[in-house]
Amino acid sequence: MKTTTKVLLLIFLATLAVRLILAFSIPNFTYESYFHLRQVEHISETGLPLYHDPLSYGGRDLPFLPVFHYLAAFFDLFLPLEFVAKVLPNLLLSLLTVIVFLISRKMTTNEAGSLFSAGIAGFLPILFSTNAFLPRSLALPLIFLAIYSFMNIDQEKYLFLYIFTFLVASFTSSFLSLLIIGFMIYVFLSFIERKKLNKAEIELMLASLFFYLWSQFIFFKDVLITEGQGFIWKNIPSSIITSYFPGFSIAEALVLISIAPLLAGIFTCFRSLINTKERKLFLLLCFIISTVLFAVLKLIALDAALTFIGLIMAIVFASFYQDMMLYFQKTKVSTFKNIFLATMIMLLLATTAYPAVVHAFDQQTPSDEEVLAFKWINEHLPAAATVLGSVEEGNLITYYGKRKNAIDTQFNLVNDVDQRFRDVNSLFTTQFETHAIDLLNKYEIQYLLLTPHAKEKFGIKRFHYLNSKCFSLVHHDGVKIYQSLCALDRK
Amino acid sequence: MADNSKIRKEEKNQDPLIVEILVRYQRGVIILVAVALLCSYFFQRSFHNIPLFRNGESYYYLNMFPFHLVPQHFFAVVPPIVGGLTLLLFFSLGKKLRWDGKFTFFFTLLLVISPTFLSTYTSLSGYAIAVLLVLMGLALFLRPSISRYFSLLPFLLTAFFDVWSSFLVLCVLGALFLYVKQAAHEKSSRIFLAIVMVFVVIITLANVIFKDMPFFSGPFHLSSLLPDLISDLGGWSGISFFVFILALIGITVIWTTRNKFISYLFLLLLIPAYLLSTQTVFYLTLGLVFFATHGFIHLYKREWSTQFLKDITIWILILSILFSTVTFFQRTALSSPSIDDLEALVWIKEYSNKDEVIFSSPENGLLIRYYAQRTPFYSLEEDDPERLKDARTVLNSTYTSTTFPLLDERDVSIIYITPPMKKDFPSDQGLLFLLKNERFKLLFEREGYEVWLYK
Repeated sequence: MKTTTKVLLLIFLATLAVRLILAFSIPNFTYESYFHLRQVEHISETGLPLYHDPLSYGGRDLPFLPVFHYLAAFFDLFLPLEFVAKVLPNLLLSLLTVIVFLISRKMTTNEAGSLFSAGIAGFLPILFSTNAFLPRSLALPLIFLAIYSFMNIDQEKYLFLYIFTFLVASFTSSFLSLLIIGFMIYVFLSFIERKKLNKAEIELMLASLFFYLWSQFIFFKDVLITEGQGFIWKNIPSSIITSYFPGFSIAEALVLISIAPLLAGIFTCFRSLINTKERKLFLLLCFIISTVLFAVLKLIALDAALTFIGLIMAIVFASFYQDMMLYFQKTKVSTFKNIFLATMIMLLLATTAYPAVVHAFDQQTPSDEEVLAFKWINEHLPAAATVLGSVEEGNLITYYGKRKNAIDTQFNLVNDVDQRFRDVNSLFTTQFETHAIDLLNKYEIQYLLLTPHAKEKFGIKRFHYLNSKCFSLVHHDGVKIYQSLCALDRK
Repeated sequence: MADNSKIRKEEKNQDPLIVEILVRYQRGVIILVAVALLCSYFFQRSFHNIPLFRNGESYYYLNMFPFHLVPQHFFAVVPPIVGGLTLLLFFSLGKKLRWDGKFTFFFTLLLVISPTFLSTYTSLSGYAIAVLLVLMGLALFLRPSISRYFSLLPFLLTAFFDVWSSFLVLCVLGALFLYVKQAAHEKSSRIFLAIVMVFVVIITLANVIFKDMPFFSGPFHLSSLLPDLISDLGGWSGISFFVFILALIGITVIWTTRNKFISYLFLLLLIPAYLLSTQTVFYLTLGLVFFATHGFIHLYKREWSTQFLKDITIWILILSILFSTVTFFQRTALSSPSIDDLEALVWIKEYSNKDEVIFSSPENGLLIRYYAQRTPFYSLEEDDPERLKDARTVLNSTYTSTTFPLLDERDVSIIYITPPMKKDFPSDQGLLFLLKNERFKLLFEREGYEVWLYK
């Protein structure tokens, strides 16, 4: 085995080990993960995704891309689901180290630089949501594998690899739109710069565009028709849309992408903007431009944009490293090369690995105590009951509690989502009993859940409108569950 | 039109047999497809027992004297006949001008399966008649005999719809003038065209001055720039997103052809008009489908480095465009007015006085006039900004001190609420919230359609 292969394997294993240690030491999963866990569970039981969910929002249609869920359901056949949900995403994201290495090596032919890139990709802080079970963890390796295949399009086997990865990614996550937009910017900039595009590249980009659009139309036809151009914002309530699509913050980018690769990447990109004949770097630059543009225009979620940019910056770092080594060879400071390398490794460790671990511990996950309360709901509440929880907890009510929720984080195709969101928040904050009962009747909510998470989120210690006539406490073990007993007479 | 030399130059490989057959018998095939689509639309509505025409422009004409005296289904044959005649005239024009067969086939195919074609030729549309008249005029004008002078009549009739149609006819006549200058020997044709143009201008001006003819007809629905153009985003007309992309490809492809300037000129006229009024989407669609056809033929004729990739792409394109058409068809074939809509409006007609004013969403104005035979507070096509503002105030204001004087001022006594209104306006604000006030009394309710009395 070559030294490079050994080091790459070591980086992969180190990434995987750290991710798994963190995933298993932090209890449970991020709130959004429970939606996907429920889908996997349903696929394992019935073979089909739950496109009509009888529990979410009291029953609604919800289209989504299912490949990731099917993959997880396959492993669920012979392994416990919670184990699969912790290992599979971390394994897939660790594979990014290998893919990033391959792309960097293709671009620079510098193995040492490519290993640095792989290391940066492995410990990219934004990717260290180790307890998130999201389709993105499959989509990212597929997208970067597609980019790698695209760079090797002159070889037939890579054409088929590209088609395969692109096809699977199309049915995994809409994240692939970044690749398509990047291609469009690539064509546009090539046209402006009068760079002649390879015929095969144009054809592949065209085919990708049409296939991607078609695949999304098949799954999201109803969303497009109902929400029009608003489908981009996923029907997210206007009061929280800024937290999903916040403004582009340089400070945040510095921490989440890590300062060293980001600065090196920006430097290399600027240099290549001025003078580059390297098409592969130019292609990556187009991906960065498209992602930044869309993030600034608030057309994609910030975390998605930062993840994509972070990985591309990691790849670009190899080019920076190569240029720097060439520069050293030409100057008298080449004797300090080893010291410089050691410093760089230390710097990268300090700016990637440490923030990555901090980011992992910052993940929002429910406590064991809260999870027990959701499990209690499943065992003790009537099967037709609707339970009030905060928007994030909606997925836990349906996954563990197996009861209807009033709201959750899947907003697509929900009528009057703004109104509902406001009403649910009012139920946590209102002082007035009649108002609360009116809203509880409106959404046919019979049980109210007050978790430490909700207390912290809404800054309350208890529901302000409780009285013994209309509300009875049915569970009290850190998490309080009340039954609503009254209805407003509308005569 | 199609740059034949360019297309022929690119024709290197043999077409599949099916394409050859379709192109050869295109007239029959396309008209059959068009008539089948249009008729199945009306059959579906008839089968579900809902009014044959969906809410919009049709009711504008149906409300006119003497059309409102004639049963609605009598008019259902009109749009398919207009559509069929338009296509026939287009083919005859193509034959006369020797357009490339493949171009006319793909152009008409993309047009016929476009949502705009479906929505225009399933309703009583002024623009559809205008296009038919222009084609008639062209067909007559290009005849060698004396009958060419009869083209004056159809050309002049196009000046009765709106200023924009008249302007486009003038552009077409202008283009024809240039064409005649290049091709014909006789001077009389040019003089005739000049006379026709002068007459079109005079009639248009007379209509504007004496009949208050609008610049753009409508609006007959609430405009929305993107969805009205791209039907996949939930609009009631427009083109498939894939046809739009093909049009973009076509725009770049045409750059290399001889006739690029005239094509771009028309596009440069059509786009601003659409931005001003989405009602003109029919004309813009004709332009975009023209470019999309060029785009499609370019992709189809181009020699790809991987044949397999070409096959996939062409198939995906065909499937996607058909998918958009089918989706649009499903959506519109059962669109408003529904049977419950009808029951509520007929209830108003039977149980209210003839002079009562009905308040509802401006889009329901034409239906209120036609089915309830009452005066709406405001109807969309009235295009009166002041009254539109009042209607919006009533719909959105939660204060009785704002809403009640406006309702009193216009003698409104009936409020008509529909499910789309409940979807568009929050129940805890605006008029829907005010309905809890004691001055409102629910008179009729069925499947979300409500009639309220305002005292």
